[in-house]
Amino acid sequence: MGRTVERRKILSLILLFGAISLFASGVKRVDVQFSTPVFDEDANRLHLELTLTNRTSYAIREARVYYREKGEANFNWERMEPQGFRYFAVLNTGQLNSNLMEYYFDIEFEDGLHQTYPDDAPVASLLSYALPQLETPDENIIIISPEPGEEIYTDELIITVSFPRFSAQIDKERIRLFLDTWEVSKSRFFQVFDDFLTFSPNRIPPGKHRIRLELYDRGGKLLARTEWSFVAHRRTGPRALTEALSVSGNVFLESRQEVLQDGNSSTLYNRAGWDINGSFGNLLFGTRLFLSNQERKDRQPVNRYSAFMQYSFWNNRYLRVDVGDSYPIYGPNSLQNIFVRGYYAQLFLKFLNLEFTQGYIQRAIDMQVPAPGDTVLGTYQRDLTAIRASFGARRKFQLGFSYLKGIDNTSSINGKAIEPPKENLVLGSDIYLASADQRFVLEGYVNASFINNNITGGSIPFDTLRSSLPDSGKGLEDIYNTAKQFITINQYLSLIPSLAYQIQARGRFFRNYFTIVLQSIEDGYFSMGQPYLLADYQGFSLTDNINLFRNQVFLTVGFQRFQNNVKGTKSTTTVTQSSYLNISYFPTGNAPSITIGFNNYKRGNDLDKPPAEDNTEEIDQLELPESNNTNTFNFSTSYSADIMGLDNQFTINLMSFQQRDDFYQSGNSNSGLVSFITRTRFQFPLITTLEVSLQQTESAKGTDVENRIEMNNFGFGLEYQLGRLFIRSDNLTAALNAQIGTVNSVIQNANQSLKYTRAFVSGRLIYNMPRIGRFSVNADFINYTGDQAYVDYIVTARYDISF
Amino acid sequence: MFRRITSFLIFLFLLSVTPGLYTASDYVAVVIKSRGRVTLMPKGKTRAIKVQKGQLLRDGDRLETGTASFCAIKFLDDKSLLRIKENSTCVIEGKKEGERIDKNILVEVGSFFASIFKQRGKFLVTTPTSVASVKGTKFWTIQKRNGPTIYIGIEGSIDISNEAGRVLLRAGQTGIVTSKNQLPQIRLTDPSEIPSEGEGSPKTQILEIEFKSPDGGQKTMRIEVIQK
Repeated sequence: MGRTVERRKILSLILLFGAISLFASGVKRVDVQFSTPVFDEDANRLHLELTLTNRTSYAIREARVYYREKGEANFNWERMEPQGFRYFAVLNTGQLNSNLMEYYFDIEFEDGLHQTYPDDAPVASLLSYALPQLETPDENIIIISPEPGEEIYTDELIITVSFPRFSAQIDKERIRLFLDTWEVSKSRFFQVFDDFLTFSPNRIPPGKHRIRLELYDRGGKLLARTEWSFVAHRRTGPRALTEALSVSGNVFLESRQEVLQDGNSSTLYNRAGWDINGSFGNLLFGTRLFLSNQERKDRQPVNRYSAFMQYSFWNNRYLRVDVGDSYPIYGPNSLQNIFVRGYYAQLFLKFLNLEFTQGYIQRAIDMQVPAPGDTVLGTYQRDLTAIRASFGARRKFQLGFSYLKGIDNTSSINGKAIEPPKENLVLGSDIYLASADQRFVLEGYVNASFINNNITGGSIPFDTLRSSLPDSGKGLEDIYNTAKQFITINQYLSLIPSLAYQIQARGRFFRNYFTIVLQSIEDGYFSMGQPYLLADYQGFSLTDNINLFRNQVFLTVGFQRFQNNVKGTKSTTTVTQSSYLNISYFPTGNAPSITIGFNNYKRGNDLDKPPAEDNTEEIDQLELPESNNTNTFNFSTSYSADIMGLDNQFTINLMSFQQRDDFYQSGNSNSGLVSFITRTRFQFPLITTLEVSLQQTESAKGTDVENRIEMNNFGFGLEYQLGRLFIRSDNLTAALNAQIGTVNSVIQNANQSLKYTRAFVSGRLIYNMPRIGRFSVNADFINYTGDQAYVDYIVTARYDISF
Repeated sequence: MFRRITSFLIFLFLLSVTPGLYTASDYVAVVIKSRGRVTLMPKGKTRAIKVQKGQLLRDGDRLETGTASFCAIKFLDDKSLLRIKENSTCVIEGKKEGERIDKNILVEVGSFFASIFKQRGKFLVTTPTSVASVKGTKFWTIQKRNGPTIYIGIEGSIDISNEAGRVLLRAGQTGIVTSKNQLPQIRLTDPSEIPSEGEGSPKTQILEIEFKSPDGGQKTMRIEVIQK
């Protein structure tokens, strides 16, 4: 009895530490403060911001946001741009089919370790955001003339576009139609009616032209946007199309001084880079470079460099070659989310496509011997070769076959490595089927993985193998000789491959967008091209996104169930089950938008009681019973109002989190969050923000480790822009943001408490002069007082130019 | 009191989301090309006006092209195209049914080319002898003055009916209807019967002329020309 109670106490303490670290970051490397996302309706972009306070001497190499539409199995990712303690990302949400997006953040440190936010992402919890969705232009905006790519005479142009489905919603006065850069919706040749518009000028210049149409509702919200181009010829004959060289890109230089851990850690980061793309006739080319003074031989690469060249043949067929660092994607189970330093070639002919990747995904690090007799532990260079052949243009059909081989190069270092050298072979096939209008899409990936966990010494001789299998005939030798060409054969090779598959069906019917995903990854499945894949995982997910009332109401319902113990070799099976409902109302008129969401998450195994009390052996984690249920409810509302000539946007968020554990009372937890944000745009170039948030968490109530954490935060921001300083088109932006918050953590029965105040001030000066560039200085300052007292600051100077 | 406020709010909500309460314009098509003498007689009017590109058409508008003239219109719901050749007359009928327009081209005389791709509403061509019902196709309708109707299928199929019955005309076939009491006669199309499409979009053609010098040298002149 006493032993069980002891175990419960230990488990409770682990949970308690987990909870505290979530908020107070006593254990984690960085303290994560996540700001409410801001959605830019005009650009259809979601702006995300994190404030990271590093509590260790391990520098943050990179922060990324991983995102996907609800119901999808795979994540996309975007690198976050650092600005002092804050990291920013802008996501293009225009390509998402679903109204509900889920995402999480991944912070990678210089030693290769990762921290995620939320902590248990992406397995157990993700953040979500309800997006007002733009209508799909191809269905709802009918381009009558000129058609995309059409060739006409210069005196023939008449732009006609109809939008019958929007007739009830659009504000005719707000429609914007652009011919190239000219806004023709202000022209006398422009006519707009309830369900269509026309623009019929007398004549336009010859050449290629681009048309952009934007439709807005009465509240000023962008409903839909579409772009297309056409070519106009003179009646006397065509002007020869010149194949002029076109180059665009951006270059940056940055210097950042970080003083952290109350002055104990001071690091200067100097970085520079460029991203340049160009075209010349059918040739596209580009180069990317990122250089940092943090690049060191004893670390994985920080610098990044790549160049590509693509030659387009007829009808979108092309040959492309990337050298340097590339991010090839072959499939979710084989090669994705990893950079390869080497080269990547792609021949896309539609009926036959070939992809080839070769390079390394892990740099060799040969550690120096600190003293005679010390163990030398380094890292092998991990080489990767991958080939994928596919048939079909992936519009209606594609069938692909892939091969991936990864191997640790044992001769890449002189000493020993932390882990024995490995070799990995992944074979796979994938299929893509879609209806002509893309309303129905079926995708499937099947992969088999072989892993040899120690290839030291190479393959064992066949005679040795035959001695252990004396009855084997000539056939075994043939198999041995063939298999040896692909993977090292010894006692560490798993002869039976581990399988992974993913089948996804997506459909868009009657204003529903549904997704069904079946996924299975056997225990032991591993691909060096996708090393972060969660193994021993099987289940399904169903999601339906429904648009109602002319895209004013979005309903998302879904259910997913996954379990481990795919091969049935473990003593227990843990099942996770999640059901969710989200409803968003984005009114066309000037009324508040509302989002209400509910999520239920259950996790449990098939044990119904704790291990026997007299069990004196070491208790395996699998023998602990598990059954918990978590409900999350969130509500948010946002309203834009013009008050006394000021453009105000008010946002209120409420979140309630409740976790119940059937076996361990210490696992019970309640949490509530309220936040209020107001953003005001004045008639002169001033924007102010005001933010208040209150959060309270109560855990393990009624136990001897009962604790309570209260976090209150208040923030305000000012941003002012001055124009025409030296020339007509330059401007200077000055911004100041400040946040002050208190954290009060109390462990009830242990009579322990932690109380501190966190003040964060950030100032920014940006001077922007077209053609010359953008200069910015950013200073961030964090001051902790109370039971945790220290001061950190970061100063950054940066220059950017785009051309 | 609370119930009345609730009812009022529900009414307001329904009002905001009910699309049927909004009205759309009564235009059904737009003239995208017009060359030569093309006139429009609006329904119920007795005076014709000259047609230029951008002219909007309502249900019942009558279009007429003169000699060496040409006109092309597109319908606003599904961009169905109708090209009207010289010396032709027709009435454009378009009945709006929600987001669709049910179209009927009342052909009096002349040559017409219809191209329907992603059809939304019905598309009919009515001539003195018959009615052609169309679903996603390209075809010619030629109506002789006081004479037969000739249908030429270019793509897809057309359902031709009159008082004598109905037949299906396929691509590569020509149907001749001499009167509304006689079934159309179907035969293979003679390519020389197909009218030219009239003034279409410019098409670039490259003309190459080779020059040879007495010493065997060779040069090529490339001329890009637009086909009219």
